[in-house]
Amino acid sequence: MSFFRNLFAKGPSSAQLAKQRLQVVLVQDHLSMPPGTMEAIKAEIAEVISRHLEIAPEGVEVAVERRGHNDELVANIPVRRNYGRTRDGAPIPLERPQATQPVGRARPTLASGRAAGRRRH
Amino acid sequence: MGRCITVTSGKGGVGKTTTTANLGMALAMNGKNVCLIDADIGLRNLDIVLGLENRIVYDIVDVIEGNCRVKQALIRDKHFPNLSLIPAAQTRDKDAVTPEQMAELCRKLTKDFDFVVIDSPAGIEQGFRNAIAGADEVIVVTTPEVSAVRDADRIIGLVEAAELPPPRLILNRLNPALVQRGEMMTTEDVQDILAIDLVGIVPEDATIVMASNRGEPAALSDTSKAGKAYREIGLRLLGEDVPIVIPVANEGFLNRMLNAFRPRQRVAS
Repeated sequence: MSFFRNLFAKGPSSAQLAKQRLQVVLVQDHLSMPPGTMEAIKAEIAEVISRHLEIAPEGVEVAVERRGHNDELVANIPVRRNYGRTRDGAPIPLERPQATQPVGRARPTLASGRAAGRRRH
Repeated sequence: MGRCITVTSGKGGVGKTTTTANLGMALAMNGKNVCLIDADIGLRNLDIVLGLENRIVYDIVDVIEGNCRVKQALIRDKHFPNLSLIPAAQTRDKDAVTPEQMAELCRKLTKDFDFVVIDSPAGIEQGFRNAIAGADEVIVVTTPEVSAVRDADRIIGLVEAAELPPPRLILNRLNPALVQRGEMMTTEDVQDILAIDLVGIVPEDATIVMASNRGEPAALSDTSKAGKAYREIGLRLLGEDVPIVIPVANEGFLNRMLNAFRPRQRVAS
């Protein structure tokens, strides 16, 4: 009757849960990091990248994942699209009059990006 | 020169002793000269699983301390005269033997035997280090449970750190009915996680308990599924190309029909 059980099953089976939990815990076992290491790595990567690119620090994800035989550090770092700005970060003067916008290295919010009226690629 | 194989697992109770006894039996059935060593000093068990508990005079610590010659400590199996056991000491602890002494004993034994199979104690301390000290290769036994797999992963790391070749895996006590219901990890799941070569799958089987009750390993039985699995592992250790078949549950007619339409599980080797 496993066919019907599988058909109406909600969520992962206990075997799938076991595998997922093991994959997470084994990576931790392999690294034997003191607590907080991942957070420190995440903050420092974000800091280094943001010296060169404008990133969304709240979206940074760093994790060690099992890939085949190896454990790999995988980082996802969302980069802000630099709409309406020059390479130096200075706002490009637009013809339309604008609401007060942050100047210099301050980060634009998503809303202000949209207000600039540019189409997303 | 014979081969020295250590059977280990990290976690206790996953079937190291049963595996050692049955592999020894399977190799002896193929005419090989086999010596089993119980390296679980203080918790002697291989003797009782083999039905040899009444014949012990000397033990491994006696051999290592020179209280007797190696030959005097060897206990010959009832069924196969080419199978012998060196029992563990029951009244000593694991520090009674050093890794160097163990390696030396293995070197001596591999001169006379085709196979030396060592039953490792559970854990990752001295007893485990002794058990792998003389090993040419290591077999890791695990069951498809989170605790056993986690410990197996730890052991695999330690074996590799000891600069031994990558160990091979025996997946013990696989319950095909549970796997089919998705309530037990599949062979593939365990292989994905541990990423070492599989040397065999032993299904969960009541005949194992019956066999140890009698002191006659299941490999001797023609009807035991687990015994057959162990005999096949023995052949693989001898280099024969015996395909690994994933055990399936004996189910009713309807399920068998439904299973025919399901994708097969594959074993990557």
